Amino acid sequence: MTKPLPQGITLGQLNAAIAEIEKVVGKDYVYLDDVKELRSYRDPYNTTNDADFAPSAAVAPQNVEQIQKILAIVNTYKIPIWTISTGKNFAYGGPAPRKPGYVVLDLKLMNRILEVNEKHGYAIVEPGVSYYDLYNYIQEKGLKLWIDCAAPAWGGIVGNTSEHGAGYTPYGDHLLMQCGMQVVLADGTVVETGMDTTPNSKTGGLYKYGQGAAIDGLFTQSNFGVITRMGIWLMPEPPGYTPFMITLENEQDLETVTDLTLPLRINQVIHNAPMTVDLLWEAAMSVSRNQYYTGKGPMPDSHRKKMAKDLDLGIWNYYGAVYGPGPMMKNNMDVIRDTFGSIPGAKFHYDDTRKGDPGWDYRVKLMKGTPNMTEFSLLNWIGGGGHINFSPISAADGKSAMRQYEMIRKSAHDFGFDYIGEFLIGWRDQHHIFMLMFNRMSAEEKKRAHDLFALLVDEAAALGYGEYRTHLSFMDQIANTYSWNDNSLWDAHHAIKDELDPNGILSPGKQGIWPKNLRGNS
Amino acid sequence: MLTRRTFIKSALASNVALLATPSHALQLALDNNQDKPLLVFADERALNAKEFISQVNDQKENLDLDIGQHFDVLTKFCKESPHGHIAGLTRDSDFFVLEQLAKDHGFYVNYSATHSYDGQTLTHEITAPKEPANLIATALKNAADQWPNWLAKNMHSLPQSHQAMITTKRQLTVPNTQQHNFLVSWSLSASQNS
Ligand SMILES: Cc1cc2nc3c(=O)[nH]c(=O)nc-3n(C[C@H](O)[C@H](O)[C@H](O)COP(=O)(O)OP(=O)(O)OC[C@H]3O[C@@H](n4cnc5c(N)ncnc54)[C@H](O)[C@@H]3O)c2cc1C
Repeated sequence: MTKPLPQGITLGQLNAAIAEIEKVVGKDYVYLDDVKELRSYRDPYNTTNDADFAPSAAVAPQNVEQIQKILAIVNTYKIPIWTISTGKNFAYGGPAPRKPGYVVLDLKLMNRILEVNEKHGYAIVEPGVSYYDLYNYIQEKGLKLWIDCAAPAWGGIVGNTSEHGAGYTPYGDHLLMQCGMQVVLADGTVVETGMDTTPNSKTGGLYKYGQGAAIDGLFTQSNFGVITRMGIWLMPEPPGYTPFMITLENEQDLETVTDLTLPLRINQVIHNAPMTVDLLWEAAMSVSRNQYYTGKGPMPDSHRKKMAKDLDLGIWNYYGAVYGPGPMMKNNMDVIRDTFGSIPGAKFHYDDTRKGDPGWDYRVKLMKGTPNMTEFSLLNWIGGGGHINFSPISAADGKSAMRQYEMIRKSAHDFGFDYIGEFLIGWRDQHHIFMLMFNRMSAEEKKRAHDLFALLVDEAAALGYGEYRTHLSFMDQIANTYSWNDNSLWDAHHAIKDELDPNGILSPGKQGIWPKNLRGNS
Repeated sequence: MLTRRTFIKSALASNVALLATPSHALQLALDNNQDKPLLVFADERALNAKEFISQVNDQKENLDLDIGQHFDVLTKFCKESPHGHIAGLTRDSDFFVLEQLAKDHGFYVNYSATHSYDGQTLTHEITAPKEPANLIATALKNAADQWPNWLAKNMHSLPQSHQAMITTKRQLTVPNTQQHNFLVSWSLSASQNS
């Protein structure tokens, strides 16, 4: 197998750099074998070829000093590195780098939980700490705190927050809950943000902004530094928790349920980010497609309806929760029941009737921050399922949601794919996640999925929608849709990049931000 | 060893009766790892996997819908049996997740195969080092609808060395395909084993 090499770098240069890196971290923590070790640094869910994202090596440092030394070496050789924390960014590229040949900087061994403060409700963690790790630590110590995790909890606080990821408790907007970080810049300088910049700081986990520009966001979805520590606020365990689900019978109910939600959400009657989940997403938790339909192309409506009936699911399935003391939850639930009860055919479900249903059970866990991996079951909807997420932001507004849904569903059907999606209603927006699922063993199907995704980016942009996050393959295309005023935002990103990382060693191309030596080549 | 391998290869090529007992042929051709600790995962909700796991005598785990429930078992096994071997007949997503998890303990894939049904056709698509890939493919095909049993009996003989892999496919016609789900069989072993 030929070693993938970064653009403009020879095998000799790569080997020389690797030899120096081995001296820093030890041979055991440098992974070079393309057949075994590097296979798991690829993205099996890509829609092109593994080779497009194949790293040349991976290296796992154990502390900040080692990172600084590695950066010095790759600066000398101008070898690009790709930073990951827990490395589980599947649907958006997994642990794989943007281009072949990059060296993956895997921070999995920096996995200390540095502080958990029960009184003030925060944790300070290193990048390798997974949601499971933090949860287990809290349980072992008997602390009355909840975590908020992404649906698959094997990812971690630093990686997920870096991606602007989301969870399902009231603390689900992870970047909003982030407080303070430590970052190593490309030249090895270590920077603390927020209050921890003051000597003997006592308030790093409490107040986000410190004095001066609040720069934490600069290091997320970007390539301006390597985050080596992060503070995250944790929700105090509430005295009570009432999850609920509402099944809705008609496609059009998406519009009504969204419009009814906004005032409840914005006024904190519903405390977490409620989800409106389509039938297939829900069904895929317990059945596979060919149990209901073995034909090609999208599943016909008649089959969908039968499935909904068999599984007691709606065409849309709405999940939310309230938290707090009993009387407060009762009040809120009364308002919620009155509001959504007005939708014809709407049916409420609770733990007493729904427990044991796989879809319900894992949502109940997620909305209270109990880590699990159940959502991966979705991938078995079709055999050999791979997926990438198309994730446009919509207004929390019924017409807007319907417009996006209809646009995506139509194009998905035109290309022969099912619409599998959900809307996650944030503070004022909705994250619309269209899970574009394809048979990853079929080159033809992968290509079709790729073409569909590219089309959707353009279609969404034409309607005024942008994506909140994306797969490696589409970072440039989506960056180009954030183009107002002659691409002034990306010009600003590039100016910062050139200043902070003149050799372009940190994650070139991340989110469409390229160092000057590679701009225009992507 | 080499002569045996060569013999079996040529036997396969000339299609002699040797493959009437494919597991015997395999055991001759592949590394025999009977003594190595083996941890086997299966998803008993799938008929074929249920059949499979009932034949396995080693440490075994029936998988929950939430694969996260089994992380501790896998981690413990990797720590306690650094030269061991982990295998399974599971849903595709479970293999995907366990493979990722195992790599952090130095365990890597050396064999995987998808088993899919479409109409009356059963397709086995095997990815493994070249020689065992072809042997296993033929053996699975010959085992017809008994392939889960064949796998269960040959778990210890699945490839455990980390060499370049190829993918090879075999198809056969079988009745009663409706009741069967898409499954993946796989094996992981520690990198020191190679
Ligand atoms: C079935 C399924 C369901 C999913 N559900 C959700 C969900 O509910 N919510 C959600 O948010 N996501 C979801 N995802 C996407 C993804 O799995 C998670 O977001 C996951 O947490 C990301 O992986 P990670 O935490 O290991 O981050 P990593 O893979 O470690 O990091 C992600 C990216 O962040 C950047 N980065 C990481 N670490 C650093 C660092 N130290 N310094 C600078 N940059 C860094 C890198 O660009 C990296 O590629 C889902 C995926 C699948 C397959």
